[in-house]
Amino acid sequence: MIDESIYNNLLVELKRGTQILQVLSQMKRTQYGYSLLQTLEEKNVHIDAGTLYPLLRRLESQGILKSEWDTTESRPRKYYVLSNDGEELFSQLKKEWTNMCVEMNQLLKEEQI
Amino acid sequence: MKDMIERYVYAVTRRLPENIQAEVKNELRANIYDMLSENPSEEEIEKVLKELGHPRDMAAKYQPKERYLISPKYFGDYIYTLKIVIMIFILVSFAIGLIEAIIGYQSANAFDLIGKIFSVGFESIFDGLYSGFAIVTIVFIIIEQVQKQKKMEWNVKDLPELPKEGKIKISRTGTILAIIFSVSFSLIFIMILVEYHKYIGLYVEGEMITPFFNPDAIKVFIPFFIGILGLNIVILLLKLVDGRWTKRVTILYTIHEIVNLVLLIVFFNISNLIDPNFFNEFSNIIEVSVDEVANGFRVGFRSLVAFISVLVMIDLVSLWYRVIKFDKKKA
Repeated sequence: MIDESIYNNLLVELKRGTQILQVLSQMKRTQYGYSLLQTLEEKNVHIDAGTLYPLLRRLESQGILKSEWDTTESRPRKYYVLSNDGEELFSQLKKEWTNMCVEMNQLLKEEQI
Repeated sequence: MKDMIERYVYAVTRRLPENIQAEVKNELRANIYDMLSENPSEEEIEKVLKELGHPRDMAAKYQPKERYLISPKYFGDYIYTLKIVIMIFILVSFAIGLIEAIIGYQSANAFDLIGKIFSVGFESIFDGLYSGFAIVTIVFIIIEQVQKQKKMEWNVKDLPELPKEGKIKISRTGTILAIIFSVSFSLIFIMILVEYHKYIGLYVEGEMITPFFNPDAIKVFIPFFIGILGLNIVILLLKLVDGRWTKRVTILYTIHEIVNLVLLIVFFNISNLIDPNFFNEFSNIIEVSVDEVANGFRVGFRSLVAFISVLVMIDLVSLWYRVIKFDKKKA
């Protein structure tokens, strides 16, 4: 019997690769950290808050997202949105993902027969 | 209540580089307040902070670059180098300490000297550990930093040669010869100590004037030398059985060498080893003062022992070097 922690590790690794696509898919419109978390949650995608916030910052420093502070409200908020380069990058990644899905389905189907 | 949020934010940001601290602080604070209701209770705050995770993990995720001194890529090489360097450092500082102790040694008491040797042993272990660890670690940190900048180029031709299998093996004939020689030498030595020391001395016209050794002084050593001989025989037999430098052979051999060395050092350094009468008679014959004769012998013995110490240390260093290298190859 394989240890449960090994299974969990594999699952985390599997999910990690998809997280960036999940995030980018929601960033065509402007979002702040918590609103993004909720949007994803509504679509049954769960990302830990502790993972999502630093991820946004990293994507920004890589130039994929751009950000702006909104200080007009009582509480200041940092809003993120896809940059032009980011949009291009996202559509490329999306293509890769679609191909990958086809390949994966092929492989997994073969295995079923 | 708000205090807890600020403390959490601080616990995260203080681990980050200064230039991003302020920005992350604002961002994190805004995110936390977004997750809370208008007037949050203490439990609610606690729940949200717990959800964000340990401040150290959080800080690690905010870290712009991964930070480490020695990466997993170099860790194996690091441990391997550490083992060899620390071992060499300990043995070298032990050898230097021994020589210093022998040269500076004055007391007549054999136990004093044994105590001194033990303290040298402990000191050298600590010295070797500290300095070996510090130097190897610093060198690897530098290598890591330099390598990080450039892509690693490598050539198949540069791959290390496979170590020769036979090198670590112990030849059977060699061992049998060693048994014959070392056992007969030890036996002769012990026989001299037990019985024939009487006949070693100063002779004038076939007549012995004075013996060389002081029988009372050497009597004490007989059981120790017999013990060492026993240990030596056990090790030689083990060598024959194992046929190569196994852990147990190597460790026993090291113990044997060091105990043997300590015994020799003590033996040649006790001040009453030589019969006092010998010095008197000898100084008469060669017409120098008794003090000068005694001093000459002392210096002679100490140089001899220092020379043997160096040889033993070189032997042990090279042996352990090969054993560790071989171990590495197997792994």
